[in-house]
Amino acid sequence: MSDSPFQNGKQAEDIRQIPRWTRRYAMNRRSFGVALNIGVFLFLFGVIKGFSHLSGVAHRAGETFLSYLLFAPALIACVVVCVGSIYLSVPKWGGRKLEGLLKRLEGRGGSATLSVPGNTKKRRWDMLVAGGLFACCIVACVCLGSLGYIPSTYMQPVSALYSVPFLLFLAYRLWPIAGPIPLLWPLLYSVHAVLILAGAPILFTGSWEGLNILIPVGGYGMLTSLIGFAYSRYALRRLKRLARIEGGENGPETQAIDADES
Amino acid sequence: MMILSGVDEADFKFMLSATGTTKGNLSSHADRLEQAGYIEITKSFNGKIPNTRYRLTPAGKSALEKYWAVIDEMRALSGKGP
Repeated sequence: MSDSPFQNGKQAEDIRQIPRWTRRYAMNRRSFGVALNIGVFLFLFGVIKGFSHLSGVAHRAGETFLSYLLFAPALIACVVVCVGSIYLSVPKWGGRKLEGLLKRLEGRGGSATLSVPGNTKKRRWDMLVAGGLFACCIVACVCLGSLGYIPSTYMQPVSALYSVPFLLFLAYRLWPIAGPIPLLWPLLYSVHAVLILAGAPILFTGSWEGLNILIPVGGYGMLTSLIGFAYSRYALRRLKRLARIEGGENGPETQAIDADES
Repeated sequence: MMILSGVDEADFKFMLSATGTTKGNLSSHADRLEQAGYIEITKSFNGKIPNTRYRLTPAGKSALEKYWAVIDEMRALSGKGP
C-alpha cells in the first residue's frame, strides 16, 4: 500500500481539476434552454416564411381560396411571435413561467449558482442602454434597407457592425456565469459577414433572401447553444469520472466522516 | 467538498448528478460534513418540493486548502512534486 493518498501524481492533479470542471458544467448547462428558445422562434419564422411563400405561389396561380388557406398558418405564427415575445419578456406575465419551464427541463440535473462580482449585480443600467442602442440600430437598419439605402446583399455585414459589439458586450457581462462559449456566436457572425464581403457564394437570393439574416442570427445562435450544451455534458462526464477517483481516496470528506465515527 | 469549491452554492440534485453517488450516501456525507463545520446546509421548500442547498463554509475552504498543502508536501517529499 502506498503512503501517498493518491496512486500517482497525475491522479492528484486530476482531482484538483474538479472545481474547474464543476464550473464548466454549471456554466454551460443552461445552454439547452437557450437552444430551445431559439429553436421555437426559428420554427415559427420558418412557418411564416414557408406558408407565406406557398400562399404567394397559390395566389399567382389563381387559387385564391388556397392562398388564403395557406396564409392563415403564417398569420397565426406571426401573431404568436409578436404576442409571445412581449409575453415572455415581461417577468410578471410569462418570464417567470418560462424560467419555471426551463428549470423543470433542467430539473434532473439540479441547480448551482456561480459567484458573480458584486458590481455586476448593481450595473443594470448599462444593459438597458446597450439593449436600447441595439434595438435602435435594428430599426434604423431595417428602415434604411427598405428605403434602398442598404443593398440587401450587405444587410448582414452592416448588421454585424452593431450585432457583434452587442453580442460581445453580452458575453462580457455574462462572463463569470456563462464562460467563453457565447463568444462563438459573434465570432461566427463576423466570419459570415467577412465571407459575404469577400464574395463567397453563401448568399440566398429571390424569395429566400430573408435567410441571409435568419441563418446568422438564429442558426449560429442555436449552434453556439448546442455546442455549449454538448460541452456541459462532456464536463459532467469528466466530473463524474474525477469524483469517482476522489470518492475512493482519503479526502477531507472521509477524514471528517472518520472523525465522526471514531 | 471539491465540487462545492467550484460553485457558490449547489442543490441536492446538482450534487447527485455531479458526484454520481446515491441519495443516501450523499445525504449522510453532507450531514457529517455539516457537523464538522465544513459545509452549510439550507433546507427550504419550492412549493411542496423540498429543496436542499449546500455551500462550502470558510472553515471548509481552509480545510481543503490545508489538505492540498499536505498532499503537495507529501508529493514533494516522495519526489512527485507539483
